[in-house]
Amino acid sequence: MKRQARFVAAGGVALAMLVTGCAENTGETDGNSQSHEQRSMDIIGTAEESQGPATPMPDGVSGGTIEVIQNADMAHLDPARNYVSTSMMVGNGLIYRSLNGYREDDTVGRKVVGDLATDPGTDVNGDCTVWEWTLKEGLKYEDGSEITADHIGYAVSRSMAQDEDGNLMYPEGAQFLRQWIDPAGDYVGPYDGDPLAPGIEVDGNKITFTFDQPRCEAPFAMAMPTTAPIPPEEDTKDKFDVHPFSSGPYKIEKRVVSEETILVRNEHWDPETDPIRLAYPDSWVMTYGTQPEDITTRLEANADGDENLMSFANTHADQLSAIVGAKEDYEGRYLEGPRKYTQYLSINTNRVTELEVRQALNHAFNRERWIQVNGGEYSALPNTTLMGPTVPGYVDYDVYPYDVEKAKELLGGETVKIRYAHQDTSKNGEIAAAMADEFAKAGIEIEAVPIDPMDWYGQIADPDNDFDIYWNGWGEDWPSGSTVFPPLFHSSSIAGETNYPFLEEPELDAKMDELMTSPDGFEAIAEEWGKLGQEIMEKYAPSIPTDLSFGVWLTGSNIGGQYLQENISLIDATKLFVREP
Amino acid sequence: MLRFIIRRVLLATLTLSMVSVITFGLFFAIPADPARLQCGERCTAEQVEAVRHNLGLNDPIHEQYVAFAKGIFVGRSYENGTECAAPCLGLMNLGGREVTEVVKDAFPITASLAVGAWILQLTLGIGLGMIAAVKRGKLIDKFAVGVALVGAATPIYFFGAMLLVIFRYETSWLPQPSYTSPFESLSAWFVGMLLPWLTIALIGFAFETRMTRSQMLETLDEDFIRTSRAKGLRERAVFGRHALRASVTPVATSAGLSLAGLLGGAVVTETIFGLNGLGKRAVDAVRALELSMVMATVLIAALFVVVSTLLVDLLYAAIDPRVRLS
Repeated sequence: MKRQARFVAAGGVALAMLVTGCAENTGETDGNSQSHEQRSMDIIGTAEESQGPATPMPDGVSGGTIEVIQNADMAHLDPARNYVSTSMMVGNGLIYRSLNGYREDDTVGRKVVGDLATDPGTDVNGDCTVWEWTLKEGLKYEDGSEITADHIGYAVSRSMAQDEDGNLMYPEGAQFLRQWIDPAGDYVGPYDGDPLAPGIEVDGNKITFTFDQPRCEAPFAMAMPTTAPIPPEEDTKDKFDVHPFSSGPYKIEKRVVSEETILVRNEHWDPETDPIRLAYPDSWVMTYGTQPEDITTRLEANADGDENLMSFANTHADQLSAIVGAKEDYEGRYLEGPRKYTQYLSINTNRVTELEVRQALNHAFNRERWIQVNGGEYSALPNTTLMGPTVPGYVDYDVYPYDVEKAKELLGGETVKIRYAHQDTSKNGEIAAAMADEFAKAGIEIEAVPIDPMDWYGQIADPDNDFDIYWNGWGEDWPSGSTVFPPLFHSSSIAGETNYPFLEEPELDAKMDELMTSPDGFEAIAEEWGKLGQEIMEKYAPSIPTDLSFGVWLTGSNIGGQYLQENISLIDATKLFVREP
Repeated sequence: MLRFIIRRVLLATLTLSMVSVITFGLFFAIPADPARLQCGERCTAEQVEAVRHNLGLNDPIHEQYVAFAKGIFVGRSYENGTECAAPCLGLMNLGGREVTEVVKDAFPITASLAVGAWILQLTLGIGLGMIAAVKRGKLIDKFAVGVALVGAATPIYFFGAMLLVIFRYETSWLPQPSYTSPFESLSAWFVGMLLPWLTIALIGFAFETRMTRSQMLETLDEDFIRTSRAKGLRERAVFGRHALRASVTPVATSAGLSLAGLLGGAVVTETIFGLNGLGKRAVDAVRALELSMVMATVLIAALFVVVSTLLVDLLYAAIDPRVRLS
């Protein structure tokens, strides 16, 4: 059964149908809450599920070239610096493999499995402090040389490299492994120090990581690009960002940053060792510089010569309703589904200090109107939780249902002035104006403050900002609350980082610290994270959860295998094929 | 003549220096943080600071400017070991590519677009203007001026988009506009640039049409034209050899400046058709806070204006012997 997710509107009330594996769930909404199916806890795969080949797509054929148009080039392809969704899809999906990866198909559902490794990892002592992986046989790079365990150790060690002033050389990537292996930051990297960071040991085809504390989510961390292997002799440092050495199904034939990237087959990649990638096309040609609205126009037109065209970009908001309204016309080249990103209006707890006011803001928030002004049911799904349903352990709750009278009661009938910062675009201005009308019903007077979009995160992440509420979005790094709640609500994430409400609660910090280093195993921890979201809303109400993002993609008519990969929440490049090569 | 040229070169140097200082200063007036933009939303303050250090953005502004300016003349060495030979216009934040290389790739696209559109625009404009002048008052005169005005009144972004819809998306009569080097394939180059050329030329030829027409009408009333007719010259020679030459001076000025402007980057046209020329690169650089690229594109655009103004003045003297350079 083809896995797909559909969103259908009926009588003005949104219904969500989320399909996972072969299960189907119908959610109901009263206009301001949404029930979602819990994702399976069975997310850590087995050794068997780590074996290749990947599950084939119906009618999938090998051959041909897929052409990709994008507005901007990928941010970084160096595995140590790769932390953006499109770059991760291309880098980790097509060019290099990691120790672990995500297998998503109808056979296993969604699981973290061994990619280069024979299994997702062994907890050696049963307390999550020491983890071991064994590499599969027959793994080769683009030049036919063997991929070995010490190359993975080198790659992880390299990600921690510092220059002579102590600055990170590759700072843009995920920092989990560095924090778990070397929390003090003493290791300077393989260029001036030991080739392997302390805590990393290699013995033949086995690699062992010893962490500072119990890290039961290590299998997920090992699915980040950081563990993509790099032979030291191929390490070109800064240039690796432009031309990484391939351990995956494709290698770079040509790369001119911000102009063109051409990928061709890595003839030494063995599909029998790969449980994730199908690598149907012979090549990929990616070009950059097309405006977002023109990408959608071109894909929609499907003119001669564009049949093999696709983009990772979402359908442009201005064209969304027209395309969705005529989706039958795009049969075979249309994909839609909910994405993992949760959106919020964060409440600045440094300024809005009274819990009752934050609760009132939540009660006064009209989620239906928010969805409507944001583009409707195909751009966003209403959401009332801090953690989204793509994370196992998810609990559905609506702590503060839409209730204008309740909001007024909490405010004691007083008028409250709130500075609502928004990105200075016409769309966001419209949204702010609409929400001002809604909040006014509860006696909340909104002053809309437009902010330069280029400086958005710089401003809202400043603990001294003079705004009261502002939008932010989040997507988990891996399916666990540990990559949702600490970045958003731990006090260590304030000051230029991602705790936009600037919540500073020692009791909450302690709870999160405990969960992040709990030795109790993934399922137990996941359930605790799930409950924590509701507790945070009840006790602190630091945010107004607004919606889950929704994606719609078109491809050229000669492309098949469209699949929404949940982990990165993009159209899945590892499954696409050219129908008639 | 030599003294004139030397004086103009010195003035040009001063102009370019001032443009570079102003542009540099304006860049740092933008409140956004290039390091934050490069690193992404999820980066911690420590990571952003590391990116800022790696990009050399921690140095005082005046030191950054001096390093940039010096690099143009003597090259530059970067902390990561990269050597950038003169004329070094800096490195891109994204990908670390030398800006000079980016400009080298972008310029042929802009040059193809500019020169092709310019030739088409001048041919249409001067040609129609001449016809309109010769056939003054007739239907063809009114038609020529009318068509030119319609073109001038149409927004370029609308016109370009319409051409795409008609010739590409709805009919597939033409392939997707793109740049292919003429040395690789002349036909692919021509066909790929046709829609962008038409977009610029059909919008822009109105000015040349009206200017040529009015200048020719003025010239045709001159005594020397009456004399040349009295001497028995055929009308073709009267118009082409005498009237047009005498009329073309102001047209040459505007044409020169028009070419300079196009060479600086036809931003809207390049954006509509997804052509990564200098103009589009400039806008992308501002959005991405790529300082070196912003400086390079601004300086190049300014250089074109300065050089074209000089060339036009020299051309004046060549065309019209009455003109003295001073």
